[in-house]
This record gives sequence, structure tokens and C-alpha cells, in this order.
Amino acid sequence: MQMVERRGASANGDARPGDSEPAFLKLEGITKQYGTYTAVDNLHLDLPRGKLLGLLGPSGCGKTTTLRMIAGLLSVSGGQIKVGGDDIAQKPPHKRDIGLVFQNYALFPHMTVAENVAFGLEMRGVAKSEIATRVEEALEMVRLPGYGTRKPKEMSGGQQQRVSLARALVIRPRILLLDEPLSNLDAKLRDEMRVEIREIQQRLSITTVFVTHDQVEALTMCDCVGVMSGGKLAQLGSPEDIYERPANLFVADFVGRANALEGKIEDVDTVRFGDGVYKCDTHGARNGKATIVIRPHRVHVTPNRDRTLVSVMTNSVHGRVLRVTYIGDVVQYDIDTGTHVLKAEVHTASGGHAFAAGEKVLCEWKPQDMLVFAGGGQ
Amino acid sequence: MNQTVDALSQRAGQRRFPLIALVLLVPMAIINLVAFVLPVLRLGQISFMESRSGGVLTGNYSTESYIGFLTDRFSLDLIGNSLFLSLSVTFITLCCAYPIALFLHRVSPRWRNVLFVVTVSPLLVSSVVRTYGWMVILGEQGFVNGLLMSSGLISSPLRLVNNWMGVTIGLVEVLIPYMALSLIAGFGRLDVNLEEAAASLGANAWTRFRRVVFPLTLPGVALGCLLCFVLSISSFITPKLLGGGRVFLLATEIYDQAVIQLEWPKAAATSVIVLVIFGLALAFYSRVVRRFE
Amino acid sequence: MIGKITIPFRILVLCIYLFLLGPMLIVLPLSFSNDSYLTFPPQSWGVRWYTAMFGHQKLMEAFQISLGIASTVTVLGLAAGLPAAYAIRRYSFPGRDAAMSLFTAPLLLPSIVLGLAILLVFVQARLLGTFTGLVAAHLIVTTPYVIRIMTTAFSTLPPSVEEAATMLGASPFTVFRRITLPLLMPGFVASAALSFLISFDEVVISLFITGPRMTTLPVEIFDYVESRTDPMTASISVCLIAATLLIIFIIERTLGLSKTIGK
Repeated sequence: MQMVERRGASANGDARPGDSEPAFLKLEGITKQYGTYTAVDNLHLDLPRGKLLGLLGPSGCGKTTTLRMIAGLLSVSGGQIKVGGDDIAQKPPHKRDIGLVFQNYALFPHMTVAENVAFGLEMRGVAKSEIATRVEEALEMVRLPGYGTRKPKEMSGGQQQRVSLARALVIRPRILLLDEPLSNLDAKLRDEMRVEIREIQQRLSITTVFVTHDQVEALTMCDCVGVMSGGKLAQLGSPEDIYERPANLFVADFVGRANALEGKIEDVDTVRFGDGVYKCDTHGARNGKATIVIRPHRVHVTPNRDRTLVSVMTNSVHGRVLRVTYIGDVVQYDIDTGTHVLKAEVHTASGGHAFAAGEKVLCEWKPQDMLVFAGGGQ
Repeated sequence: MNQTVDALSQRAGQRRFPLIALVLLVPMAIINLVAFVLPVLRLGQISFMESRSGGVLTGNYSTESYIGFLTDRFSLDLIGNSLFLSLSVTFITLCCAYPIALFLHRVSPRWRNVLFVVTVSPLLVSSVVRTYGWMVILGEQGFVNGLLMSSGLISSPLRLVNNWMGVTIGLVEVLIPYMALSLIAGFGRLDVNLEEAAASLGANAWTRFRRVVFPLTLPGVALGCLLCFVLSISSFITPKLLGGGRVFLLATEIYDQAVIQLEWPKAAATSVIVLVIFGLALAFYSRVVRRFE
Repeated sequence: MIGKITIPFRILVLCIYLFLLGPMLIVLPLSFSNDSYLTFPPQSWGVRWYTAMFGHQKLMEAFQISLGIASTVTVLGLAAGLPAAYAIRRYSFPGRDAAMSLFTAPLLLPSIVLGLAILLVFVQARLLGTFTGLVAAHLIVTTPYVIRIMTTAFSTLPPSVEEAATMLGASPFTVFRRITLPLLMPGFVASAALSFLISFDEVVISLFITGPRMTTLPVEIFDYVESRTDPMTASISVCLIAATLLIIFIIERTLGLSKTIGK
């Protein structure tokens, strides 16, 4: 018990761990095998103390499996899970001291809110008087003071989610795991809870793993994001890294919207697709097929003019507007360049020219906005 | 995502868990085998066995029990009696249970719970006790005759029991809870808005019932009728006690053949015939239900 | 206005309820008859037949046997049905649906046919007129209810709730005691009560397999009603109905009968 207390206190004391700090949560080659199917394949991952890691990926990529292995609800087929240096991979889940928030909240329906939150403390043999104060503190933290006597079914989804968070945090776990915690909430509530979870996580400075299929959640909330695909880590990096410098075509395509165009590398700074030749950084590749990714909102759409005129954008192509989709804050254009259909997004607030379907336009973009993945194809 | 994980762990379960699952299922499987599977198989087997007079099995197989049953005038009458009784009981039960179900559907939730318990609780009272109650009510010196005689309406007691009348009344009472339960389950589709819509289109109360309420509750009616038909054709206690040895049905015949005459092959064959009638009723039911959908 | 309950409709329903409950209500006045034969209204009143009932040795023996059988059937039925329901709901294995159908199939078989079938096997196994035989035969009619109620109970208990308790530090045993068991309690109590009542009241199958040495209370009453028409049966009936009502009342107060059986 004392150990838990001290650990919690020290986690609170660590205000701002630097990036250089050694990993607190370390996954060393964890693997989950179901017969011949490998759900998680030799996954390596380091997470410094107090950081929030988002595991992002499509259905079946292995992110929930990874989370459940960290929690101990699934056994590992191989590898080690180290928390603060000790391997916990073989420890039973109830001895791991890890908080888990479930997608469906998983509150105990036969207990009041206070009894739910107190459960973990009871398991740790905390004195009755202390339980009462800590439960009330935890409920205040999630902005539900005085709700202790209610039953879970008398509360809204958002409130249940908060109780679930309070229940996981009140035990001052070494690690907090969140399994798609926002997916059952409506859009507005989701925005609120996103901010709230992040705030609490930073205030407590608790090492957290957050599983989601929603890139907005991953990019906005997390210190670092691990994009998973087919049981493997496709990329691990800061949200900016993931978005601006995707390591591979999968990440580029999965995170954010993308124009993925088949082309050819002509030189270390030149690619060709369609009828045009464009300036970019090929990361040293000199030839071969490539897939070129351009983010729609990095494509500038201007009225038709001669493309030989020099522009700061460097790259440009003529096209005709095929379709205009008004979304509110942005307008999406599908632009036919003759060989490809290019998607472009323009902020309506920018006061830019609004184009109509059929209009001729010039699309421009900077060399650094072209992401080139050698090899072509998916 | 979760679905995938579930599917995966389930797939894993097929390899990893059969042992645990098997262990958990074993006690139940043993009970089922000893008191259900083996007996039913044995029943089928014995129905095709030959027996000498006195019920001694010869060890040879034949279809004599079936042929004997189906060519015997008395046996064929049994089938006719049973079918007629079951159909009439089912119809009367429907007429009695339908108002109860409709009432429960419309009454306030507080009363609904209380009345639901009242409706279902007879199911938990021994059928011997309930049948005995009918003997008291309908008997020669029972409640009804006592009332009628003391009021001077009749001079000698009416014969209400030990005949088809008594059996019918008793069976209807025993089966009302089953019918009501089936009907209540089927009343879920009945929305008061639909009746209001019909009224706004100019339908009076009777038309609303005939054209809206009743058709919507037909699936429940079909289920209730199947259940009651099947239960009454195999009913034994009520015909035995209220029939007073004068009402002969398939079920009473099975008992007499098996326990009194010790003609097991015949009793088994009669049982199989009851099961065949069951199967036909079920097939008819599924055809009717398919028409609703 | 629409869907309102009119007075004639109320009266009709009241009459049907009287019809439904009549046989159970009528035995109460009769049980206090002091007459030697069944006459209604009774000529003289008293507790003669209650005294006779408690003095009837065979009846009292049958009552004890029935009590023993029903208790054993309840315990064994839960012991066998609970794990089976758990396996069916929580594990995936080939033939899972078939197992569920097989375990609930005895409900579909008419008890007269089931009784004969059991007789034919038990006569060979020398189980006729034995405690074991009666328990086994009753188990086959009570376990389908246990399986049905408990599979429903398990499916309303999501595994994540138990996992949540585990993550908060509860050992497997604590999870079972603090989470699984309380949440299964309504289904558990309903299964137990229903098993007990069904076994205690079972008469058709018992008629086939009881013997002179070992007979159950309903069979004894059945024989008595068939051969005698004195009001003692009314006294027995009143006691049985009172006991049943007590059980229903307890279940209703603690769990809600409509909730546990209605599903």
C-alpha cells in the first residue's frame, strides 16, 4: 500500500519530464499470436514518464490487443512489458496497478457511483475514512462532486465516462490506459471530454496510453502517436511528425486526407506524374516508381493563368473544377488535371475566390508539401 | 475493432477453451443423456418391438404396434377426441386470455405488474390442486350445484364433471396463463398511436379492433394457440381427474397402456403418434407465421 | 379516449380472473369443512381435515420425500446448469447452439411422453421408485429453465465489468464474489425458486416412476383425489397454495417476478 502511495506522489511531483528521460513504459517485442494469425507482431515502443501516447489505427490493426496485453487482460505470446524497469508481462492483471477506462465504461451497475470509485481503494485496503475523502476528491476532479449516491444507470453517457475515469485514477495507477473512451459520446461531448482528459492527464502527469481510431483525437491530445497497421507499428512520433513527415504511404494515407498520385522519380529533386514535372525532395532516390502524396489543404487554387509565370509555390498544374463541396469552414474542390483528379481544400474565411464547377483553375503547391514514397502502389 | 478482437479471441477460444468449456458442460450433458436422449431413443426403439400378451417383449422388431393402433376403431376415435378437445380448448382459452392480455397492455404500469403476477402465478400452483378445485366447484355436491339447488333453480344436480364439459373447463383454466403470456409477448407491436391514427381516419371502436388491434397481435395469437394446442393434446392430469374415467384421450391411453396394461410397445407407439401430431402442429404454425411476415 | 378501459371491459376481465383463480379460492372455505364428504357449502365447520392431514402418515412421508427431492434437484440443477450456461455464453466452441437447443429441448417434449420414455430406461437401470431416479427425472424438466434464465443473466453481464474490477486490483475470487455473483443473483434466485417449485409440483413423470416405497406428495395427492372425495385434499391444497404464494411474494419483493420470468 505504502508503495502505491509513494509512487503516486512521485508521479505527481514530476512536473515536466524531458524527452531525454528514460522510458517509463517499455514494450520490448511484444507479440500476440492466435493460431497462425499474428494480431500484434514484435512491437517495440518506449514511452517516457508522464507522456500521453495515442495508438491510432484502423479496425483490426492490433491497437486494442496491445492495450489489453499491457493491462494483462490478454496474455502475451512473446516479449516483455516493462514499467519502471520491471517486466510485468507475466503478472496477473489485478497486481499490475494499471488503470483502465473502457469504451462502454463498465461501471458496476449494482453499486453507487461512490462505491464504484471506492472499489479499487478497498482492494488496496485503504482505511475507510481515507476512502471517503479520496473518492470525493476524485469525483471533484472529474467535475461530479456530490454525485456519489447515484446509480450508474441514472447518469448520462458523459457522466458515466467521467465516473469511469475517476474510478481508474483514484487508485493512482502507475499507468492509465484508455480504450476508445470517447467513441460512445456524441460529437460535442467528445470535444469537451478530449480537453478534459488531456487536462487531467497533464495535471496528474500520469503515463497514459490512449487507443483510438480517430485521428483528430490522436493528433490533438497526445504527446506522441503510434500509428499501427497489421499488428505492426507503422510510425511512432509526435503528432506533427506523423502528419507532416509520415514515414510511409500507409501513415500518409491514414492520417489526414491525401491525394495519392502514381508517378515516377526523375532525380533527387524531381518527380513526374501526368504530363508535368515537379520539384520536391525524394530523400535521395534518383529513379523508379513512386507514390506522391499531397494534402488537399496544401493545394492552392487560383484563377487560371499562365503557369510559366514564376510563383513562390514552384509547382503548378492546370485543371477544371469537377465538383464543389461546401463544408462550412472549407470548400472542397475535385479538380480534373487531365490525367488525375486532384482534391483541394480552401478555407472559406480566407476570402479567396470561390470557383464554380467547370471553371478553369491553376493548382499550385510547394515542393515541401509533396511527400514522395518510392516504390509506388500501396 | 472490438468485434475483430472478439472474433479473434473467439477463434482462439476454439483452440484454447474447449477443455474448460467441455468440463463445464459435462454435468449438464450427463443429465441430458441419462434422462432425455437415452429415454427418447429407447422410446423409439421399443415402439418397434413385438410383445406377447401381458407385455412381454419377444425381442423381435415389427410395426405391429403402429398398425394395430392405426387400424383400431377405438384408437382412431382417441385421435379424433384428442384433436377435437384440443382445438375447442385452444379456441376457448384464446377467447378468455385475449381480454386479459389487452387489459394488461392498457392498464397503468403499477397495476400491470401486480396483475401480471396474478396471471402467471397459477402456473406455479400444482395442477393437481387446481384440478381438485374444479372438482369442488363442478362436483355433484359442489359449489355450482349447491348454489343452483339452494336457489331452487334445479331439483337434481347437474352433471358438470366426469365428462367432456368438466375436462374442457379445467383445461381452459389451466392453459389461460400460457396463452396470456404468449399474447402479452406479442402485444409489444401494439402502439396506441396506431389506434389513434385509425380513429382519425374514421374507424369506430369495433373496426379499430378488427382492422388494427387484432391483426397486429396475430403473431402472439398464433404462438399462444400452438402452445395451448400442444399442451392440451398431451394433457393428462386434468382429463384423468375431471374425466372420471369416462374421457378417453391419447395421453390417458398412453398411461393406461404403460402403467396398467404394461403394453410398452403400444404405449411407445402411441407416444410417437402424439409426437407426430406435435410436429404437424409446429409445421402448420411456422407456415402461418411465415404468412404474417 | 382511445385505448381507454371501459367499465364493461373491466367487468369482463374481472370475471375471467375469477374463473382463473376460482379453483384456488374455493378450496379455502372447503378446507374448514368438518363433513365426511365433499359437500358445498359445508354442513359443519372445523379443522378436522387439517388434523387428519398432519396425522396421515403416508402423506407426511411423501411430503418429506418431495421436500428432499426438490431441494436436491434445486442444488444439483444449479450446479449443473450454471456452469453449462456460463460455457454457452462465455466460450465459443463448435456445437454451442446445438448444446443450447439440446439442453432446453426437454421443455418441448410432452411430459406424458417424457415420463414413459424415462420409465422405459429407468426400469432397466433399476431406478424405478428410487430417490436417484426421481431426482434425475426432475432434473431434466428443471434444468432447461435454469439454463434459459442463467444464459440471459450472463448475457446481461458484460465481461468488461469483470475486467474493470480486475484492473482495480480485485483477485479472480474477489471479482466473482463482489461483481459476478451479485449481478447474477436475480437470475440465480429465480432459477432456484422455479426449480424447487417445478420439482415439488411435478406429477406426470413422477406417476410413471414412483413406486410403493418411494412416492412424492403430488402423486400421493393424485392417488388420494382419484380414490376419495373427502375435504382433506382441500386442506392440503390450502397449505400448498399458501407456500407457493409465499415463495412468489418473496421473489416479487426481492427481484420482481415479471423481470425474472418475463424475459
